[in-house]
Amino acid sequence: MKNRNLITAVLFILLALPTLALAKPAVEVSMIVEKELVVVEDGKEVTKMVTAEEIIPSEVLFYTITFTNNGDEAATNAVINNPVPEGTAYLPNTASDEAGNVSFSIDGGQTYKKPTLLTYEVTLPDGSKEQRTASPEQYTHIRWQVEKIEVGQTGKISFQVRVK
Amino acid sequence: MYPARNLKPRLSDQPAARDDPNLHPDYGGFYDLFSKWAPRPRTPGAGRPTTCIDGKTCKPSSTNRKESIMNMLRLRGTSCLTVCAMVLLAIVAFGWTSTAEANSSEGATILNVVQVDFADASGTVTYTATASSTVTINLVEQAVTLSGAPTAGSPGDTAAAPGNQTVASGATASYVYAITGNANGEDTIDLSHTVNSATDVAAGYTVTYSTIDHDGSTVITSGDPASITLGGAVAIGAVDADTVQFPGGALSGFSVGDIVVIDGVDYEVSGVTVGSAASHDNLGAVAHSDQGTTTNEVLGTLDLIANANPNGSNTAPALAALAAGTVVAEQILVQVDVTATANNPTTDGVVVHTLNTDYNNDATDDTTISNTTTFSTVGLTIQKDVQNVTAGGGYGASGTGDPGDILEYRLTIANTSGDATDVTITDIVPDYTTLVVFSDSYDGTVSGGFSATDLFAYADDGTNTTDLTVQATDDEDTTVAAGNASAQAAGSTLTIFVGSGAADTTDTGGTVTSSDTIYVYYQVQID
Repeated sequence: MKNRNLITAVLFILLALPTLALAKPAVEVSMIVEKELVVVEDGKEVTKMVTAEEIIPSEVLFYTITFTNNGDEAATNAVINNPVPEGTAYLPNTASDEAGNVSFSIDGGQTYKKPTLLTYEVTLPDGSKEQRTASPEQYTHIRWQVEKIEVGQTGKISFQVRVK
Repeated sequence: MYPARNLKPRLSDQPAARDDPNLHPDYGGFYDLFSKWAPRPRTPGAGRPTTCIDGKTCKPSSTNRKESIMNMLRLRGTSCLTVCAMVLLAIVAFGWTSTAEANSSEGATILNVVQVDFADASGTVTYTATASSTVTINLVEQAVTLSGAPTAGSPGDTAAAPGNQTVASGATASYVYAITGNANGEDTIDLSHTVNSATDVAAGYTVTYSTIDHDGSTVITSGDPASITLGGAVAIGAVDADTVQFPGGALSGFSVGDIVVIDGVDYEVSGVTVGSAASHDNLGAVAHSDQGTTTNEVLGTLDLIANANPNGSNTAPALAALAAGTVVAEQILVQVDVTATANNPTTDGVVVHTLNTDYNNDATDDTTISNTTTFSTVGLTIQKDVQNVTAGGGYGASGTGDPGDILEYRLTIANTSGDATDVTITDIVPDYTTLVVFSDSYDGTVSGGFSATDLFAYADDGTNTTDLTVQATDDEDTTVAAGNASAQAAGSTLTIFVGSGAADTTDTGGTVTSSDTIYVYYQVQID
């Protein structure tokens, strides 16, 4: 009897071990890109969002990124980095901002700051130097920071760029 | 108002998210968006017509529509921040269609890769997942530029259009036009021509066009080609002075030997590398849990040399500092030939033609260019002078002579405009005189009789000369004149065929072109 119980207990532990040991977060990420299309319905112009496979310069691309924790453990310190695509310019105030967790880079992703703190130095013709605040077209990267993504939790972030 | 779908942060409504302060922001309207930072003043091209300086005061732009939106919303007592956001949204939603000039190449790929780095619950093991999307840039057609062919002083597409021409009746006027693209990719331009008017010209006049090489003579496509295809691309910079860079995989429609125009200067293409776009294998709306692989972009390049053709500015490329967004467009030359004959002896013929281009292939002409060709009528004149060879003195319209004196007649045939064809002169040996013929050469030994090979006249066109024989069965010199004399006695007919192609045996007059002058001389003796 004792032995049987012991064996059962050992078996149970052995069976449970792999699951415990392999518990981990698994954040899955997907992306859609859309554009606006004006269609006429019942004689009225209606703007619709359609998947953007092709685009004309000067039009706006709407990016939506979905992340889901499909693992069995919470993910922590998630950092979502999205370089502003080549050939486009970030449109000001379009990055979704959850309680101020968005920051931007103007140096190719080396440092990230809030827009008002994104400054660079220019040398004026008279030799003096001036600090200037970067304009949204100068942004090279967008970063979102999320402290914790619970198991099964989904989040969406979005931003817009204008095609050059 | 347009829904704020892409400005609002969106989280699922799962309980876990609600409980987590980091994942459950209280987004009331747009406050969070704008309380984080004051919107920036408008920058050129950024397309923000409304400026919020301090986050509280909005200054509407000058356009009435936007002002009315502002006023309407203010009357309702809506907070400024919301107004700012709503106006901005309205502009984002409805503004800037495809009217702006493209400064990205057709076929360029916009690759966006997002990377999520995260750790496990304990913060010890880190993971990475990526997702990506690609969007291809479409062609934005633009009207072409029409100009004259480039030359040393007028490069690229800056040469003035060819001026109107005046040619001889029956001749052909040729006009060379340069067609330069402005699109962000390869574009097909429909071509056609119109004869706007054809006055005082004979039926059968022709207006035709062909595409020609920049060497000015080699015809590429003749017989009124229905369309031409112009390569086009938007540069992203330059490798060096003579190598321009483009997005990978986006170059189409260029080949070695093409002429391209960059910033108003023409160059010849000496090398084409298309390259390839960047790609990432975690593509699209499918969820990805791993770190995908990015394949780097291989940029496209065009190697350029000076356009040293006769129709070229021969400018060496110096494009090291070429600005991104500069359009590189192919140039093709089109030659229009207009041929007509004036059908009224005293009125010049006039043909007005137009070369039409249709850049968007909608059967409506876009850029056109027109010229007027004048076909001048024939300005042929004839004058007869005489001098008394025996008594001496010069040529005049009249003179005196004694019986036995030798008189020399000079016929002057001059043409000031147009081509006179089949020019034939008939003269009569004057009364009271007898034609003098020579046995060896004109004005040489007077012949004892009147044989077929005797010479009775002399012709001179300023370059060539010829003696004319009495007989009608030979062609003395078909570039100056030919002729025959029926007899020596007064009243005998002298027939002289003048000009290029004159033929005595076939009784055909020659062609006296504009600016030609031909003299014909013969001598008589007063009875």
